[in-house]
Amino acid sequence: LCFSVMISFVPVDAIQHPYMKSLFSRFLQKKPDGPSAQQMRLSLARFRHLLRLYGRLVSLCADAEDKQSGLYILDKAYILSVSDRAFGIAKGMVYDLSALTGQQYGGLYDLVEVFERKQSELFLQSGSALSTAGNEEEYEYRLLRETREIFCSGGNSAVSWSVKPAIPDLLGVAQSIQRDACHFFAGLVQAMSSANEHPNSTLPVRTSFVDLMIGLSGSSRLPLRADSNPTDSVPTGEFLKGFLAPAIWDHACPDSTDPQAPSLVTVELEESMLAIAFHRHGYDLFDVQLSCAPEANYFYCRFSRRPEPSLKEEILKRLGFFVRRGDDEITGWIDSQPLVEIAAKLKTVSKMSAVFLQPSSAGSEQPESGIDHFLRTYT
Amino acid sequence: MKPLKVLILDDEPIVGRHLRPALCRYGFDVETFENPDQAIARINETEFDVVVTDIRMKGMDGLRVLEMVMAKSMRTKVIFITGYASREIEREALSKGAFGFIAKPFKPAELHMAINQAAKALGHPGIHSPRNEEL
Repeated sequence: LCFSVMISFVPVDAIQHPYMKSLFSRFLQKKPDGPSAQQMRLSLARFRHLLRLYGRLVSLCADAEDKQSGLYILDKAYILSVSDRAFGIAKGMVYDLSALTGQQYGGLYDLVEVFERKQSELFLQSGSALSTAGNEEEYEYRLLRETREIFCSGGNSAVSWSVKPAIPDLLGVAQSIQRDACHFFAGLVQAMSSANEHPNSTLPVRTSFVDLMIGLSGSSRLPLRADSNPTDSVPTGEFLKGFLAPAIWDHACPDSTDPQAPSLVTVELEESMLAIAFHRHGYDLFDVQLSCAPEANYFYCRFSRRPEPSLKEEILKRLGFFVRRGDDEITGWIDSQPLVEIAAKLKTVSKMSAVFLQPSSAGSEQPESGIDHFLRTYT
Repeated sequence: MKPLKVLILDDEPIVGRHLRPALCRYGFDVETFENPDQAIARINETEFDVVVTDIRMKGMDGLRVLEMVMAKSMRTKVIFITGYASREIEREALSKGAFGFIAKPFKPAELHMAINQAAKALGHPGIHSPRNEEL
């Protein structure tokens, strides 16, 4: 079983989010010695499960939007099944986050149930009681539209509920959950890596290696290069080919002692990989499953909002991701695609992360020309 | 050649309401039902080329409809449409003699394609263009 972690050093101030700081400090108070390998394995499994659920919810909402176009024959049974799946996923995410953080999020069940009650009331209403967008809209399409408002479009029916304005719908709740989970997991990695600092001599990316199967003490230095994959993992190999592409880093000053220098963590398990790139704006996170079975494959990515949020969002959309933009992040999701397609996107998206880590990327480029320039240069 | 006779059975009115005009455009002779008993009565009166039926309905499930259609005429092709699609249900339906299986939601063009395949199996050329696009 290949289950290893390459850990890099994280700038102390890399993650500025106050919530994460509070989680991190709580975590450190409880576990002054940092997480054990066993804790890390369990947390990793729970965290990756939560991300998969989030991706499924994003896909489900996008699918419901597509089905609302009027081009499909649908019925109430379909809307019921979408609703059941969405609330099941949301509850699963609350469970995962609570398990990951030591039951700190149990109260979120109540919030999900608020939306669920609203949805149940909607199903009990007759056609005439539903709001109408136009005289021609049929009952089932109206029901689907209002269901989607509860799920993902922040419509009036959901906003009128006494929930936090920042969480106007079910997908908003899910987005907050995945954000907090990402912050927590990034904090866990920080805690684990704090005793294993190994500057990289060849690139301005600091790295080290820990094998979870033998415990956290087995760290060693890895001179990472794009052409020297230190693992047999296919997704890690593809990720490193993109992230460490010479064309991106050749002009960078290899000063890994700089506390602002970016750093990279990759966690791999057979056909999957999770990577976190810490940098001066926060962190980017990637979770990938690459297998010969397309239906099992997926790719989740999370970028810090700065720099260039519009450019990041548009590039991900152009690559075919379902994209959600939050206050401090941009997330993308694709699934059920052949290995070669996800591998190609993994390489492109990891290049994107590395490109935006360069100091020269701080300037503001027009999104349209920026997308074309990026795709022309890096794909 | 006689138009293909198609019966559509779904207890949710929206299905027949949308499918009837969509399939009539192709020149199919379409009858729609929301009540399984009324549909079975009509099937016993006349021979349809294709029966399109939901699986989960109030009163009678689609698999029972399939049995009754086959008891009346082995020639009639049955296509299932369902919002509760699963590999198990699809396998069961096909093993009992269903011609096709389409998961809801679907585009009318998908059903049109399945009906044309059924037509081909019956030795009918099928209809590949809407009426107003012919000539």
